[in-house]
Amino acid sequence: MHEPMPVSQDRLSHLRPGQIGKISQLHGNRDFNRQLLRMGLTPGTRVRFVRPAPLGDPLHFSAGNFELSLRRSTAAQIQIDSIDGEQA
Amino acid sequence: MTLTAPAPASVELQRAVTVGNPNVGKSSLINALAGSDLHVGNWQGTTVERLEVRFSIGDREIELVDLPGAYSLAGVTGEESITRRELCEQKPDLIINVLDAGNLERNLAMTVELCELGIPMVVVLNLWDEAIAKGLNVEIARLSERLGVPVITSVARRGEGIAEVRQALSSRAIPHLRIRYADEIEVAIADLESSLSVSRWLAGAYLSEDEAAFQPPPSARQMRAKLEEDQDPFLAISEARLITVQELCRECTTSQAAIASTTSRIDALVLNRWLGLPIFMLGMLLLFRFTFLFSQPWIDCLQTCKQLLAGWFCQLPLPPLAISFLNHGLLDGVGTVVAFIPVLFLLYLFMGFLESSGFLARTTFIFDRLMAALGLPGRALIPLLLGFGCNVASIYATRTIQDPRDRLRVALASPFMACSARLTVFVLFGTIFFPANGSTIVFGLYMLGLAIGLVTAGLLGMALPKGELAAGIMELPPYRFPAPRFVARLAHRQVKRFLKEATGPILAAVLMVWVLMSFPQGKPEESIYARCSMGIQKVLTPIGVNDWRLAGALVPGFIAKEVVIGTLGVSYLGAQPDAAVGFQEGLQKGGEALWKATTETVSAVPQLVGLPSLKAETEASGELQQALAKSTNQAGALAYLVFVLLYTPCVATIAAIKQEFGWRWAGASLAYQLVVAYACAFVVYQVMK
Repeated sequence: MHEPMPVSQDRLSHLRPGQIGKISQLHGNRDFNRQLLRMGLTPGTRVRFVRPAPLGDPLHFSAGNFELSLRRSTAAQIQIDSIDGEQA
Repeated sequence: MTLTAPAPASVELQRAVTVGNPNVGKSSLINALAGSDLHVGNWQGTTVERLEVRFSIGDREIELVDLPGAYSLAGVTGEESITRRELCEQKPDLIINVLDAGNLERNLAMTVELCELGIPMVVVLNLWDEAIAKGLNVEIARLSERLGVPVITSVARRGEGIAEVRQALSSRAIPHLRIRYADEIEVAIADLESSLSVSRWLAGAYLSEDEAAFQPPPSARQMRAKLEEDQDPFLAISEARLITVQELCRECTTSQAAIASTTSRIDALVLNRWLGLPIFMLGMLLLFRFTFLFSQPWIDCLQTCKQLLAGWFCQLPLPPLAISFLNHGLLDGVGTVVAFIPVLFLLYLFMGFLESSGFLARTTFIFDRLMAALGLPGRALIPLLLGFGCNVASIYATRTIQDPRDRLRVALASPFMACSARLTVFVLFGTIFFPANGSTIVFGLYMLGLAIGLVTAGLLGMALPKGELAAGIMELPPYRFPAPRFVARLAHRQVKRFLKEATGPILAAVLMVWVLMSFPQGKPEESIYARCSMGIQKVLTPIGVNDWRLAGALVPGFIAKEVVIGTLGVSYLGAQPDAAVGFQEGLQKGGEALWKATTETVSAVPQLVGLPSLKAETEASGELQQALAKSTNQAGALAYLVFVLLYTPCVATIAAIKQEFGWRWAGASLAYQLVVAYACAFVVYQVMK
């Protein structure tokens, strides 16, 4: 299985508050990826970074119809391929 | 109903299960259907075990099993595998698939998996009101047609749609929705379905899911190996399912532009970078003020009633020993148990509110990082903090922690949090021995308890086998205002459970102490209790306890810290005779006490917003204070307080640990507390001396 080289190295954890990223690939281990997929964080999903927790970690994201909290290290394993939305 | 139908020979028993994502209201739905009393929380993992209720509709009896929430049938967490086993091995007669109507896409991902089990199904779109508020609309008839099963909308917590769900329970419709996989996969699945006679879903799982968890038979392994030559079957299957879900959503839902919801407005405030922490602190402060201000009048009232009863009993035509048994054995025992109720009820009420409103998930979000430094999940914070109110409530609250290892760590750390009952002892000794800086001493003790608790959790984390590091993926559910009825019922049930578990141990312990103190009859210092106390005092000399009466009071202190001062009073001043009370007079005084408690509770409301008074009153008489002042010095008093802070808070705490984790851990915790208390008190005394 040869995947094309990723176009961008941006990760979900790189977003600024208010920005939206489109998930392109999950880089965690198999179980982790499956857990995310099952929650609905599939490639193609647009995720908005809402805000970091008061102590800087974890991060609050909004994925369309549901909100979730991910640790920064977790979000760093999720690759995104486009960033848009104004900065908060 | 037809009158000609012959009466069934036996009542038909139908086995139904509720399945769905976490936090979609499965337990609420069952409660509404069966009029039962399952624990409802706005929190993932409220149902951590399999729960069953039975009820009947017409002539059918239905056994309904509430399965833990899961995002997928193939999930790897403990709860998810419970759900899978129940569905694949037990084969229920009917699946009630509960969905969050406002979050259809993700919820349907599980529905399309369930469709492949070939079991009759009913789909319930719960939380319909929230979906409408979000501007979503679902074409029910269309969805029902595509799935091939009844689809019902409901708001379970308000009882809407429940009649329709009850009606649909007789449906035998098997879903006809079919996911189209790639041709090679379809061939392999069809082959496995017929050769192993398994469901389409299980055939797919054999080809794509974790082999260790599913143990596919050799034939399936071979097929999988062949498929894996040119694709990842897992990706292929999940993609096909995803496409099906997206199609369903496109065809059956319409949504208007999302409006800024109440949830995001509240979150903007309480999760705010700068305001989040202060708001949380303020909230916790209010909680403890609330618990203290509202429970104290009732504790006082119960105390008055106890004195009145004792006043009646002492006039009974019985020998003095029997009256002493009634008043200082039985009545004191029951009084000790009952004294827990006001605080526990209020703390459980608050915990129930946090859980069902969605605030508990936010607390986890705010404190995750802080707790992660200790290797604990963010949700461990609330159970630990509840320990400052009552350690028993704290141990039960660890149920909200999913990882069993983390749960145990928090449960063993929480007894070190200084509960409100210890405060009475702190205040008494603080007033006598540290009149100038009593509040600093009390604050220091609280901090010491917190530090020891955190160190305990940290040490246990190193000692226990490492679990899998949780990825910290957590949903932040929308805020929901919990139905007061549910929260009150929850608190009521928890208090009932406490009474069931703790009454026995507390009564037994109080009676034992009464026997020790009463025999042989005569002077207090000749009783068995005094002789035991003198033995204990020898052991405690290195920590500065030089008076047997001080040492002795630690023994009833195991029962509850509330009784320490009472015991000191009896052993220093001798038993106070009970004031005789006439029947009429007693009733009148009882009524007055009740009225006083009610008015004080009401007048406590404005005090909630006022500044907390730092001046605590002590209930001990001047005489006792003078006697105690002579019994030890500052160093001894401080060491004594450190010991009281750190050793077993009460017999109910041990009972709670036993109930949650078994005898082994209860015993270990008891021994550990004694060792830590002794060691710390020793250091304090030797340094201060």
